Amino acid sequence: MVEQCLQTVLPPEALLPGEDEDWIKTGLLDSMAHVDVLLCIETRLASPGLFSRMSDGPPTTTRAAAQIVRNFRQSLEVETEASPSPNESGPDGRCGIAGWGFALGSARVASGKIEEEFDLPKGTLKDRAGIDSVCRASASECEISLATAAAQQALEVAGVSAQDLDWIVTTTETLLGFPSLAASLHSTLLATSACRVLDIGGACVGLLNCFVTANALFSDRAVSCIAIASADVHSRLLSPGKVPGEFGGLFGDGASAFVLRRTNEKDDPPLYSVRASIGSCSGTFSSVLRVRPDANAAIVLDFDGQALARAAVERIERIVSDLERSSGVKREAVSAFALHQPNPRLVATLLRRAKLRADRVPLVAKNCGNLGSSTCGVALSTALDVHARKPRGERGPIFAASVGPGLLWTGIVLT
Amino acid sequence: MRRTTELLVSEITVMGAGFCVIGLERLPAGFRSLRPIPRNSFSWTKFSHQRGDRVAFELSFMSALRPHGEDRRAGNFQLLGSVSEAQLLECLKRAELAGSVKDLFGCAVHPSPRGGEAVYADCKEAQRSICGCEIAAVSFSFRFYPPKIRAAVALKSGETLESLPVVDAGWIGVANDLTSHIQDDRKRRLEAQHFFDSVIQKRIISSNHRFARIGLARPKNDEGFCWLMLDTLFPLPNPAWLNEAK
Repeated sequence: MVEQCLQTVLPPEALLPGEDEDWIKTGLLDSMAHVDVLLCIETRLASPGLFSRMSDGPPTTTRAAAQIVRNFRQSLEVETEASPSPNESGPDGRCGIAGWGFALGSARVASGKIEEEFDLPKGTLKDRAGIDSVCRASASECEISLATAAAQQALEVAGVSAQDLDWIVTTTETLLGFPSLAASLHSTLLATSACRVLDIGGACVGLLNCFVTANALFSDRAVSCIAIASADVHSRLLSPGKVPGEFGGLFGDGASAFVLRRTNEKDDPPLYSVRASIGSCSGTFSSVLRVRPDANAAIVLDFDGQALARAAVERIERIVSDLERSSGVKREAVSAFALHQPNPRLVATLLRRAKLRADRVPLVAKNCGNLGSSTCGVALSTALDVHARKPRGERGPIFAASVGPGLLWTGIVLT
Repeated sequence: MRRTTELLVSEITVMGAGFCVIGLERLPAGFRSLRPIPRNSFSWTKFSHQRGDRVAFELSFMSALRPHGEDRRAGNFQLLGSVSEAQLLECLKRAELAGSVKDLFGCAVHPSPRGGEAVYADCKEAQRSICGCEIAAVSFSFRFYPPKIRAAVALKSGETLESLPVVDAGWIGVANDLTSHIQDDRKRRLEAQHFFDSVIQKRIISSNHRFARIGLARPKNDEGFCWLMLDTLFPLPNPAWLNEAK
């Protein structure tokens, strides 16, 4: 594993050093590359700060690093025997995705019409962004109705009643009023008075934040079933006259929902579970997209499209690499990538750069537009439709990755 | 007779076993940064002057690789005088100055593709290799100390640079002076982290002169990565602050 981390920073043709060769003194690694190797090892071990707890300085040879890795793994084995990890601490073991679904705005609007609405040059959305059409909510649809439709699908797939839910966890970037989406969904699903509600932020990473949060909520042994949902109706907020068409024209309306419950031995095939998650905020890129209401309820938008595109592609590519490191799963072994898709052109760039197979990336934005956090949700639902019912031996893990303003980023591995 | 150029020494940074020096040359309107470089190397093995010193150098042009266009071959330097920290800062604010990450080097920065939160500028895109910026906050990390120190800075624009290698010889000196008597590296890390989180943070927060100069490392191999580094941080470190550690 140490040598694999070394390989990530060395040129492809470089030979690996001998076990006792000093990486720094021999000039093999400079200071930056040395830190990158150490971070790689810590990430692979899921132990940030591992080297800072050592009495000696950071290791500079393969032998020294490998010894630390061995010692760490041995100590982990002892700890695991003493107490199971949070995800396995419940009475019935891990939690997994038992149901899934999505709902799209029922009106399909071609990109040419959107270009007319926003007074954009012909081909701006279709040729430059790669969007054929977007889904728009009809007059009778809203975030709550779309989320309800998605949640009912997910409950049906899971074979679970809304009465069984212990938590409803939701996210939205367009429903700004109260009662919130989670509270409204609690009402429309007629969940019980024992079911708690939680609204989570994060804009386009909101759904993955919901997964991470729900996974953590299962550490409470009393929790057995959680519904999570995302819903956004951009068309009423990012409309012509309020924002430029190069931005507003990219978005569609939709919702996604998932039901998570504790797994048991009878699950055949086993449910997909969150095996690893990573995420943070990279403020370096916070200025590329800023959206906020002003005092007159108009929208103030700072949007550097090119810089955002570059930052988003680089970060999602990094998330995929970091998920590989943290989970030990290579991208070639992944069955599907549920990715945020600001627009289809960026997806094409990402596939090329990250060397991802196009048939493993469910496309959403081309025909539906950017659905906010539901982009990932619709992609994940589509992937689960294909893979969740396969026997374990015939399916691989699923990676989900998203970025949002901030620049927030989150990635999860489902196995 | 050789022409000399007066530089106001603004940066002395650690570069391998030596030091890199940057000085400000006065222009009709403001200042510009120049990097005096010894004849046979990119770094000075010994540099006897201090930040804030006015030094006369014999400078000559050299074929500098982009983006290090500030490089000048240097020799025969002579001390002319010195200025205060406040005066030096005023001069730096009239030199290369940016209000956003993109303006630092006239190009976008990119996250490390290898892990970690360090960022780099592409050597083909960067327009310069040193720039100043006003900052709102700073924090230090001693995770890989000794010898590495990293810093995160928040610009007034709200943007952040999260894992800048600290190469400022003055700040590195404070950490080393603080911990050099400690044998156990883990204890050194803890001691340094605690001191910087408490004493140094208070000093920086209470200062009206929070300012950083961000530099670009020279690209290594064919990658073209110019890593961003914290070359200088104002307020400048004061050795007397070490007394507060006791």
